[in-house]
Amino acid sequence: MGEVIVITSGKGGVGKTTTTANLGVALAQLGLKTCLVDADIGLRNLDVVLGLENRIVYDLVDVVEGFCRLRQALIRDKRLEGLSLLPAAQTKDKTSVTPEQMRGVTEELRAEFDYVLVDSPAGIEQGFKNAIAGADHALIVATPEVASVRDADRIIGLLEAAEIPPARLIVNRLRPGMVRKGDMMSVDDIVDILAIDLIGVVPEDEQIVVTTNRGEPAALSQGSRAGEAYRAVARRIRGEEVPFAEFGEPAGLFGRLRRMFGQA
Amino acid sequence: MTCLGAFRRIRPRAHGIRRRRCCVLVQLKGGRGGVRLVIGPRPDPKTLVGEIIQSLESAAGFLGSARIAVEVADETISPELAAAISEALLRFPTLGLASIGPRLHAPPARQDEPKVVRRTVRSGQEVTHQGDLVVLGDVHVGGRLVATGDVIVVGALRGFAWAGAEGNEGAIIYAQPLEPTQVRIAGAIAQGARPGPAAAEYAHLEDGKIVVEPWVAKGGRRAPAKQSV
Repeated sequence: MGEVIVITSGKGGVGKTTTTANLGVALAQLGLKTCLVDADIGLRNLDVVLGLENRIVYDLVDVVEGFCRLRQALIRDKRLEGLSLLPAAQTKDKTSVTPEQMRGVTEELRAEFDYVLVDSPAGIEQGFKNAIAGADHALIVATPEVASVRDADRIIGLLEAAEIPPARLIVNRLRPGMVRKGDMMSVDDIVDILAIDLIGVVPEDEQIVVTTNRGEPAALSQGSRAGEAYRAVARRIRGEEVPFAEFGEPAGLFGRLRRMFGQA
Repeated sequence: MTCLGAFRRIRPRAHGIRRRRCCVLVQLKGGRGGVRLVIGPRPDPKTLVGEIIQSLESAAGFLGSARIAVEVADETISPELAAAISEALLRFPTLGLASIGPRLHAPPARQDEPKVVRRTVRSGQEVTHQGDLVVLGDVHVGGRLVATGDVIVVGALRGFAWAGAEGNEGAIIYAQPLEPTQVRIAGAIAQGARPGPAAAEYAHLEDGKIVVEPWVAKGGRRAPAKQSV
């Protein structure tokens, strides 16, 4: 039986979808069968980030309404063995699915996959409630901004109320230079405020913009610092102890060499 | 409520022991039932006479020949207290005394057992309680505590807290650190001030204003007097 993990944040635009896509890729790279579920019905974009938009035939709403079987709606990623997507509907809205139905879908998926990652919509309304309905764990994505951290706190409270075990935190879009100058909240500040365990720190990375627009998540290829960070998160999800990279300089020998030659 | 003042942090008194006067001793209140002179709990008869005279004098022009109802917070009125009240009122021959007795208009506050919350109170969460409220954990920004008695946070208070929510002016708010967005005690409101010292502090009412001072846990320290409304 696989694990169902919801990726959520409260605030929009902090990188939930990017995180879901990259973690899916990273988990699949580790040889784990992974299914990504886009719970952002009406505003789907996980498929775009994954570059699978053109292959959608059926979607989540079709599944719960019984127009198709779950298997028919799943899109297999051809680049990566073991990665599948259950896309959201574009034309419906959040009320087309109930938490009960969502639980049914995730239960069916967990029988087949090692990990089921549910990409939650922003907000705390129906869409959020659907997204967390079948989840065993939650990953909270927060950027080092007061509004994002505040919303994350709210979400953690709601997850507690829904009796989903303690959420773990991904700090996204960290700019180490700004932190050093005292212009940005540090990871420690955020962890202090939210009082939950940290599972990943993803630095701001222009590569993310490029790869997201291209539909090829950064974690697919080497050489992106954010992609590297997502791969580390994936290993931590699997239970490995992975030290947190210092973002003062690019991690790894290769990065250090690049820096020595002035290219970093 | 447009100019909401920040609460005032005050230094501890000598030796860290505070000689605390009981809340607001004497208050003149007007209402549908006429003018009421409200006397706080356990007043010192020696200073009471002066206090009553002072508050009546300050409103002499407005009072005219009103009949005043004297209300005492204590359940029983001691002979010394009655003597002090009549001595003070004798100075104002134009005023009539309508009645004297314990405060009747306020329903006896229901005080349940203290409620203990053993978790973090996060943004959007609210804990309310009839009686004293104890939180073993932090209260984050956006979290709300409302109690008719004291609010005790064994941890950081960074959200909102309201002690004495039904009018208990003797209620306190304790936390470590005390860095709320806003606190209320009975009918008084104050903005929090950040950052505060890391040490334990408590907020209470003094002359109708919320003040904050260090909680000095020294031997023999008396807990702040409680007032039952």
